[in-house]
Amino acid sequence: MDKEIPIKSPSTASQIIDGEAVIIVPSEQMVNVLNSVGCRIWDLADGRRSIAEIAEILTREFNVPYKTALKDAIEFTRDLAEKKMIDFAGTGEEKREG
Amino acid sequence: MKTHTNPYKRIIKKTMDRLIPFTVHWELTYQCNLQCPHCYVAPQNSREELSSGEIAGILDLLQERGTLHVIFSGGEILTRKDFFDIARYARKKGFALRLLTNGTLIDETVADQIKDLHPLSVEVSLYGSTPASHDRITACPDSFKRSLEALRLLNGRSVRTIVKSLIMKGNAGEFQSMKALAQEIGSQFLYDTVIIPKMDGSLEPCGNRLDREELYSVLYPEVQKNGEDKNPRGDDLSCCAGVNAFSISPYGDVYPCMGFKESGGNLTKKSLSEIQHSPIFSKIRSITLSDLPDCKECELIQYCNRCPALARMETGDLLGPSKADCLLASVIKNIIDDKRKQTVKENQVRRPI
Repeated sequence: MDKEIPIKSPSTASQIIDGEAVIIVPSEQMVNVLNSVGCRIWDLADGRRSIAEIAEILTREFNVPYKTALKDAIEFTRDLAEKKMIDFAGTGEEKREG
Repeated sequence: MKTHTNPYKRIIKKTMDRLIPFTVHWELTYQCNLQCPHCYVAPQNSREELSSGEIAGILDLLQERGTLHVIFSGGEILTRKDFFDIARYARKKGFALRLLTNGTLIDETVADQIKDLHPLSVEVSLYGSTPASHDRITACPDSFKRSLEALRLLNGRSVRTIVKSLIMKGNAGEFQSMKALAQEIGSQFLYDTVIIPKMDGSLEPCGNRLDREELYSVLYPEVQKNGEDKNPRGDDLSCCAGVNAFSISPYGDVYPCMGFKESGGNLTKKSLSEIQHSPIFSKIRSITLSDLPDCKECELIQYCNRCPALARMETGDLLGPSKADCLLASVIKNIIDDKRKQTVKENQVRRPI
């Protein structure tokens, strides 16, 4: 799971207001607001970084242990995927192989 | 970490407090292939509409300034050959799109292109439940058939569609059948009964407005006897025009809202901040109930959705009452009162001796 690469779903619309992400999923007619850490993960879900790489960045920026950041990032991206806000573009291995 | 659905209201408040243009209504063109008599548009033919390059530049600016919702309307948006270039660019910038169209230019290919935009909604104007009534209003043969086909094509692609209707003299008798038709094809139905004057000041479109009796009979089945149709704002008559929302004309002029045709400036000449702090924007934002001499003591205030733009267009007075809004509020109050009386009567009859 930590090698998977999250990417914002192309159907979403989003804007950052004061460090919080407002994300709309048109197919669900749903608005979600993410706090500053969630907003940073959303920002980093660019289809290039794996969850492990995102966790490394969170560790540095939010001063949390890597293990905690990784666990949170995995749970959080799973939650976003369930809400159709992100897709998984593949894994780090695939990226390196490609 | 959690996702939240409720803090949206807090975000909206923030956008209002900080004048973040969260919602922008953009009239991309005043060109249209229909000729509806109630239309407020009066193109200034001597002026050039913005190019797609200019529009992209403004979209960049809006993205930086915090806009999320962009409503594209016209005229008819699909008369612009570059519409999909503009719309795709807007989506690339992350905006949530609502598209307002008459639907007549939507075929299979266009419907596919719209689906790929993932719009929040496509809102199609319909003015009758039959070809005869709708085409008479649009002055365009086959427009009913084409608009309905567009709705079917979009619904078939799981695009959320809304049938939008203006209820007026030529179609009041078909209000319920239009509603049923929308439901039958899987679209939401929204309606309005207020026709606004033309943007050049002409009151001609308002001649199509319903009178009191017609409004009463159209709205009677719609209004709830428990008063749910009361203005949810209570006695707060402020609106988001010029606060966290504004409108852009095809020429780049920026208005507090699409009905308020007094520009705060043109985006090709002035900064957004200058426009937001222009006299007309500042004036609109400063209005409170106590500034409205006729409205502040009005008994209909709980039923009223006063629009300052409409008041200005009808009477020239930004602080005066709007004739159309007063009539609507009065009819809603009458219906609620009549339904309550009827309920009391029914209860009295049914009460066991």
